[in-house]
Amino acid sequence: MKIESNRFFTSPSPHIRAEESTRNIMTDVLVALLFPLIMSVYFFGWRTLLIALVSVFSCMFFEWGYDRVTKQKTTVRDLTSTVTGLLIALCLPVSVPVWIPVFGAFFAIVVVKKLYGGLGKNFLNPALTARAFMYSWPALVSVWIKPNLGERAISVFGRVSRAALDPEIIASLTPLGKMKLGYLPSFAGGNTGVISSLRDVAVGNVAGAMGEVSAIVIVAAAIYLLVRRVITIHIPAAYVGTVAILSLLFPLGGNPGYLWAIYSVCSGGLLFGAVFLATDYATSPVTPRGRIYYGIGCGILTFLIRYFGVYEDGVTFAILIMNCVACFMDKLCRPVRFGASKKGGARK
Amino acid sequence: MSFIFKGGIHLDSKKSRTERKPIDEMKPPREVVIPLLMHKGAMCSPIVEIGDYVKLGQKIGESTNPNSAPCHASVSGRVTAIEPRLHPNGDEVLSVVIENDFADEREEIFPPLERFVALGADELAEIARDAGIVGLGGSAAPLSEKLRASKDIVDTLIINGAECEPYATADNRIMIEETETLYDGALITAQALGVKNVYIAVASDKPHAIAELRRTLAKKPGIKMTIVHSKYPQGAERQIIRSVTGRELPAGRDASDVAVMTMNVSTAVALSRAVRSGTPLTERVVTVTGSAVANPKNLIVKIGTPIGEIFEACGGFLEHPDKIIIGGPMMGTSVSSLDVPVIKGTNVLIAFCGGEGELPCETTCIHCGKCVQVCPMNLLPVYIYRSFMADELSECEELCVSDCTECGACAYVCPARLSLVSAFRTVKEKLSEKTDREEKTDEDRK
Repeated sequence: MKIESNRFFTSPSPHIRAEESTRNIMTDVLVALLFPLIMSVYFFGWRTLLIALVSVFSCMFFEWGYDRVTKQKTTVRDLTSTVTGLLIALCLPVSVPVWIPVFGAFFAIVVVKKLYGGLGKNFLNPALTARAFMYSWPALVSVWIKPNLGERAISVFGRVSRAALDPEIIASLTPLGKMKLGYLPSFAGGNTGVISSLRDVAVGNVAGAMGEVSAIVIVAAAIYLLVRRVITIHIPAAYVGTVAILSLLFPLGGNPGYLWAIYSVCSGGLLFGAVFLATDYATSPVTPRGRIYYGIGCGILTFLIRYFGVYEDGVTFAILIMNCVACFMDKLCRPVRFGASKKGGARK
Repeated sequence: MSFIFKGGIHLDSKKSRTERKPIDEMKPPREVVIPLLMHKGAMCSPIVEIGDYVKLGQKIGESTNPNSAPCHASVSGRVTAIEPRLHPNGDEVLSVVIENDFADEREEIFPPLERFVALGADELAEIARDAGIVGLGGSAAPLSEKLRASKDIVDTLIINGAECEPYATADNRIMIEETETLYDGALITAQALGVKNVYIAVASDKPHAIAELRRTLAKKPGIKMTIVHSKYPQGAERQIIRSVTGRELPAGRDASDVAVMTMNVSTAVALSRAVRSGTPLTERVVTVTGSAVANPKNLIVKIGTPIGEIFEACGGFLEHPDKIIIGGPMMGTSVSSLDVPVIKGTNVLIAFCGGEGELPCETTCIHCGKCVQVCPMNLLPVYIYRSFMADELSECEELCVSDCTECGACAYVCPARLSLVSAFRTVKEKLSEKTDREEKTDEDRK
């Protein structure tokens, strides 16, 4: 064989690379998001899929469209906008009109992500900012349908039935709403909208946003993400741990602390937020200690908003506020330089 | 068991094609090209002339600088050229070309010490210098300087058999086949330095070598074996010191600052040879492998053999190779020609084919922080890279870019496939240029 030297590639080291690409990581996140998505279809019916498809399609369309308009090579194939789309959908109630996620997607992709320089450069989580934006229509995004009754309340294509006004179907309160009044969701009292046993809260048989209701399924998704090394445990553990400890110490309405803590952790968007939203790469710290402080910060803010704010669930704003300080956390938590710790022992 | 160093990556070892193959001797080449710079430090000047007849083992390059290592003829024959030739580092370096007469007429540089005589550190350093021994694990630092720096300071000697680069199996085979010589080299060094704690550190992915060493060390006292995790870059000096002793050697300091001396297993074997039989370093074991190589081998090769002939000795290529790498795939250099010679620090030759040599396209940093998790020097590659892209050199300096050992772990894991290491190399070059300039202006002012 004739060897032609000019046919050798030359490049700086290293000459081998891990298989993992941005696209692979996003595929893993999508697989993890399938867990709550499937659970949501089970609880809330096929309309879940319609909302998810509209949201995902809108995000990918805006990503592609923006790149097209600004004449850049499109990054739609890296699947990050697909993930954003699914996250937006799973934060919404099943009864939401289909045009809401389209607005959310536009805001998330074009305003929050692309205008700040695109992938990895945005400092706010696009899906969460979109969610905060969509709170502009509280009557549409804060209506909670009881699980297993979804299809009766609202058809796949959004035809609201007469039943939609039926208090049997529309939950006036989510478990967190009740907790805000100082009642455990499992006991009657106050505004008796929902009565949820601990089992219902864990499995997800409660009123709430589509992807957020089932604690067990989200924990399973978290394990998948940890095993696949997409996320590290620091942020979710610090976040959930902080909320659990604070709720344990300060239960409302004279309830037992441990029960209050379990309900606080399993209700609302906490687990979903801690696993899928607070761990967003671009908007969270990269240093191990920074991640822990960031998680604790999210936890304290969530606790404060839940106790003293007007919103039932503080997750969205807690994480968005922490997004703003994430890069400072990294600055403050620089790892100790190798050899500079006590173990160093280098002679002067 | 050993300590664990933070960071690092688990790599597919790719050693299976050669790890069970005994070391084979390659037929000496027709011609050798011996660069006068095969070590870290000052370059040698030729001490022979074109047309001279040189014997095998004769010194052909020498420097007055103490931080250097002389070069020796690896074959006997006539010097046909002294001119700049392509070096593995990519530059043209002054080299001595010798045409082999296959007579193998030897020259002994010093009388062999058949019987064991206790050597002092300075005497041993002298022998190491005369024999031209450098760190054979890839560092190529002159051994004599290391011995002198370690004298009266170190309390621990680590013989490094971690061999963490994928594909490399030369050290593994040496530990299996040359166990006694290895032990001897380690003991000579330990006695010269008066060191009591002597460890041979072997990575856990080398069960055969571990078994062989255990058998030898059971009969012979004075040296302990430490099994270290098979994680990259376990074989790097700082990581092996951390794993064996728990001490952390800061960047910019020498191992003697934490009272440790490290030495590669092949270096220990070369030192034993120099002491026992008076032979200088003229050959070494090289692993020749990669998807393009027909018959991968561990070969004893004359220093200065053009790599093309070595690939020929391994059955040639199955396919036209994409990429030729001298050294491991993580820290080695890719070369553009098969005329490049093997030098003292060359432990592996790899030929990739079928697109393996092509690097994937770069995308955008997603701030995932995987580089932070794997950096064994506790750096923040993601932020250094961002500062580099923003052209903020002082920020890179503040982030301790100078601590980077260029191990490549960050670039390996990066899902955006960014060329982090070459970015950091550029930053370091720019920073040292800046310091040079500043020093120069300071001098001008004076």
